Amino acid sequence: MMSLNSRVLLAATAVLIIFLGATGAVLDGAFRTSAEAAEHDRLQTQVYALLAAAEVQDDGSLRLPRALAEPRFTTPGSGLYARIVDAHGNSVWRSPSTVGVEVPFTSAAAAGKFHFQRMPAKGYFAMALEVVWESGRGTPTRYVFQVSENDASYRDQVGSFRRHLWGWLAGVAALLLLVQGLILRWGLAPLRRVADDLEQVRSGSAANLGGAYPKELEGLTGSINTFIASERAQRDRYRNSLSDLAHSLKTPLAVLRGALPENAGEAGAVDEQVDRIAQIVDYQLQRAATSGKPALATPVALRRSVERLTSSLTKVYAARGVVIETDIPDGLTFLGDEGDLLEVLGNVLDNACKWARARVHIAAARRDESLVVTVDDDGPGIAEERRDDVLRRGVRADEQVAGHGIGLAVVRDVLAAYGGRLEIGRADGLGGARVVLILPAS
Amino acid sequence: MRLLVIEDEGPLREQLVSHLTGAGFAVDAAADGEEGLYQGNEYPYDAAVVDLGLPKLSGIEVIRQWRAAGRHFPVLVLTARGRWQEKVEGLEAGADDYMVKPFSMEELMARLRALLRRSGGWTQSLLKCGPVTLDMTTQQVEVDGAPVELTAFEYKVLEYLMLHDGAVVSKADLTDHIYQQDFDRDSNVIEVFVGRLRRKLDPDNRYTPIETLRGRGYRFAIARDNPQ
Repeated sequence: MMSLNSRVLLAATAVLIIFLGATGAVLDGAFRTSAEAAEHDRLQTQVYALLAAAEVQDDGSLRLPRALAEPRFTTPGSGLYARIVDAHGNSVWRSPSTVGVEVPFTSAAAAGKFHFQRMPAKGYFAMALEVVWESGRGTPTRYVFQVSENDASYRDQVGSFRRHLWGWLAGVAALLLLVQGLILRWGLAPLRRVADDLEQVRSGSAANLGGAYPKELEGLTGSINTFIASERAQRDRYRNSLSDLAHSLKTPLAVLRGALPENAGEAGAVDEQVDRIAQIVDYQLQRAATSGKPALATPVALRRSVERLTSSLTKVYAARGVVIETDIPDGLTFLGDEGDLLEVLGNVLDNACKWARARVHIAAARRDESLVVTVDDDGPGIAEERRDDVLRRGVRADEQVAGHGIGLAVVRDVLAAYGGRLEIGRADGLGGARVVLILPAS
Repeated sequence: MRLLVIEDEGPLREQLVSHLTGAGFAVDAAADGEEGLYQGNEYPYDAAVVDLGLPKLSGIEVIRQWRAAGRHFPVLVLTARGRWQEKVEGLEAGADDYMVKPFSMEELMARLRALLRRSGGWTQSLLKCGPVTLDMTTQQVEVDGAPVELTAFEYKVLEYLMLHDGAVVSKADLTDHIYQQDFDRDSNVIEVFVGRLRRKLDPDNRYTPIETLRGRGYRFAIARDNPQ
């Protein structure tokens, strides 16, 4: 979809082009009209000057002085030309400037009336005036005074005006667009800030949209914050109610188990069933509690989580003296719920500590798009044919569970919720089991 | 050994108290976090068993406040959920071990004994000081390889003294750690137990394992064989 920025800029540009185009056209028309009016006045003046200079002889013929007030009439090819014709259309006088030049003249419309004409094809302005003079003998004689001027200077003027006009209009348009762009940038800045803040919330570096926003956006940001808060509260509530459920299911089981008489015949069977119920409850609650990759996840520092677990496990396994070596580079993060990460790593590390003779090694690295965590121990290892069993344990409620622990089955399920997986193998260096956790990297 | 049990579920609390008492511990019980916190701060316990899901004050908060107040006895937490986040939080708050419900009483007992040994600096359940050997698991005492018959209270006194061998233990300390809260503190029953213990452990006055430090208390004087 077209961005807000482009929409507004496009609309503004279109309006600007129409407005400035119309303005330019009107100004251009007005200038041409006024330039033509000036030309009209100039030619009229020349006609009056010729009229003033002309002398009618007693025989009715017309005479003009050799030197005229307007020097351009006497310079050949000057661009200003004049001719006087009699009633029969015969030329009685030509200005010396017409020598060697084919000049178009216009004819008069009515006696005493100026006739002005532009001849763009020929490149001339022309004017004619018909006058009637009484000669000394009383016979009226008709003459037509014709003046034509080359329109080069007019075209120069108009051309120069146009260049200036459109130049300025283009400049103004550019300036207005620039200002428009700046206004947009400033006006849309809060929206951009909301987007940035949302990105921060999504990537976990902020808890909610905390900035100050204009009041038009407050409704939106308020709703988003409410949504974020309710999503978190919902998750917490869910977790808490699962915790309550676990408590209320397993405490009676603990009582039941505690009440069993020691070494009585049926006690062993009951004890085993209590174990199974407890494991099923654990497993199903764990599945229900696994959130999977949430939309608003906080990146969890892998190293920090591993350190929390190793210091806890070192305490628990203090009597056995198991040493946990870690090799986790800084900066590796898991994008998801910290509880889920602790669950996965805790189960795997606990298993390793349980089986290890003295050493457990945990390493992590980023491989392509995955976060790979490797946990090795120096215990007896897991035989190849038993590896599948270990993972399947406790998966089905009606299955007979052999031995203890649903740990790795839980790990596998949590990983699956994140699109990761689990591999079991043999530890190269330590000789015991190797569990490899593959998680999609953030 | 005096223990504190904080568990809100009545039947489970009674079971814990009866099992632990049966195993020779002096046990006090609390039904909620506030009461448990108060008792832990008030009396000198050797260890505590704390449920994490407690009314009024969570188990984690109870442990945290004890540790902040300088109470360093070992704590074993009971959790229903068994999620690692919960276990880690409990251990970070200052607990030393955890058990997930439903636990077996035998395992609870074994873990508690291990914690008590560790807090006394012992790494094995067999405490050996010269000719005297005390097995915390079987509660058997031998001198020069010959078994010695002790009553439950005599055993408790000896176990406490041996766990803290070399240290001066006052009569009040012994009373506190061996009896529950309602014990009559003025009685001279401790002196009687110590006298009997001396006669049973060292009838010929060869080793003098228990010294009396006038006005201060008693000390188990034979150094441990495997100091660690």
